[in-house]
Amino acid sequence: MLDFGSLTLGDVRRGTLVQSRIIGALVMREMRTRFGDRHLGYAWALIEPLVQVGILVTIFSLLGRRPPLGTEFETFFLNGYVPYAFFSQISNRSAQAITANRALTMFPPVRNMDTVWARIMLETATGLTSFALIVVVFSYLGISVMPHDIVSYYFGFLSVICLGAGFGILNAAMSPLFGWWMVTFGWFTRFQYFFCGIFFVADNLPPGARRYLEWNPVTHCIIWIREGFYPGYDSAILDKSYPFAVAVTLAVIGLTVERVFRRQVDAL
Amino acid sequence: MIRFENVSKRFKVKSGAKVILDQASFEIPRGKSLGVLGVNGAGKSTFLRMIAGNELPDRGRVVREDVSISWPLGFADTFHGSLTGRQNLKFACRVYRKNVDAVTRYVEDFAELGPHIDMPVKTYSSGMKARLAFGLSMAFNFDIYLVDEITAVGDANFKAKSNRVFTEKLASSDIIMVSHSMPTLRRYCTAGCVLNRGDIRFYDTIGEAISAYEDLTKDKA
Repeated sequence: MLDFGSLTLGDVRRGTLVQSRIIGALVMREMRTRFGDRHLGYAWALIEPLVQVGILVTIFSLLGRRPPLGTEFETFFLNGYVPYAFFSQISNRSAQAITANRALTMFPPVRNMDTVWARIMLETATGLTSFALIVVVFSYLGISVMPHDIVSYYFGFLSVICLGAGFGILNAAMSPLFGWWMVTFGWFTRFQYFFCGIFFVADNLPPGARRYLEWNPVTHCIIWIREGFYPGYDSAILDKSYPFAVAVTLAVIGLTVERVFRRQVDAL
Repeated sequence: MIRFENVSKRFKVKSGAKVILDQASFEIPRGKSLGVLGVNGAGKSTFLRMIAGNELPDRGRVVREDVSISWPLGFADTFHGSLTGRQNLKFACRVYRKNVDAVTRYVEDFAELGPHIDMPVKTYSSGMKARLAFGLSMAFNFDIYLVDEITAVGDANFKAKSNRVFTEKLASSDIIMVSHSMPTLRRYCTAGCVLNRGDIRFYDTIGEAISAYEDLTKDKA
């Protein structure tokens, strides 16, 4: 079915150039349509994580709790909610890329997967911007947002972005085929909100609960980020290769499903 | 050059499968305008969409080399409703690597949308959308234009203009056209092909293709 018979390196290079041009065009287009014509839409997308973190900080401070790591809830939730938001936004937004852009495939150079890559890139850029916004606001408020191991810290974020992309590619491939897929994934995302580790440090949980959480790749990303942030936090759970392995596996499955069922999906 | 290599394509219908092409290998002749004939459901539109690359063959492949091919004209649903006409043009230019300013100027002038060019496409009438789409495809100077049932839009004036521009295109571009109207095919096409139950035959003149097609429909009657 797949014939690479006469494919040359030049073809690959040309194809890559065309594809990056198209993905670029799609990102610009999505940027306008994702947030509506009103600038308020984009502003809200950027502010939302800041508001969420603010709400969590307020609630937990009012309850008189102390953060399990560091001294401030601000950084604890920044390093929990923001990675969760990356995961949830990228995986959910790219899921609808193919179905929402069906009409676009009338332009033959635009392939289904291009729309998925475009959404992954746009959501990543939006996430990074809102992350930067929180960092700026917190610094202004006098909260130290400087991670102790900056390289590890950003690799942690990279891992959660890749994980979101892996789930996003799988979702984009599956959701046109199965109507129930995104309903289930919606539950999965909500589950992640409570159980990925925004609210707790997995190392502090009893072994019974910890055993299950070790299977959650998002948990590993958040631990990684917090390890990079807090001096002296060295998790016994963290496996840095795990989130990447999951991301790559899901992406490969997603791309395979997309390729095998492309005809059916195009004909829907 | 457009070459079909061992292409099979079938369609699932209620009564089983309909064969459009069965292990067909051929090259689409260049320098001619090709009329595509076939009874209803023979797969003419699908054939066009396979040439464009909108639709994949079940088996085999369609090779396009050094040739720019339009999307099948007559469809306006590539436009995003919440983007303005101008923004939609910009996107298409980026995809096809064309000069945004030149194309926008051409389409603005051609499609006669006036201030509507800066309004969201969802506020357009279907005629306005069709004019925008037709103008865009004319601005792009494709080597080959695919036309699925040419539909005239707009008032007499606009029709005359579209006709003139389209005829001018024929000097530099080929067209591949699906139509039920024999006069239309005779007018625009020089050669023809007939799709019939998985088989495709090419004819050097559109006249021969039409008489072959008429023989076919007579047999059936």
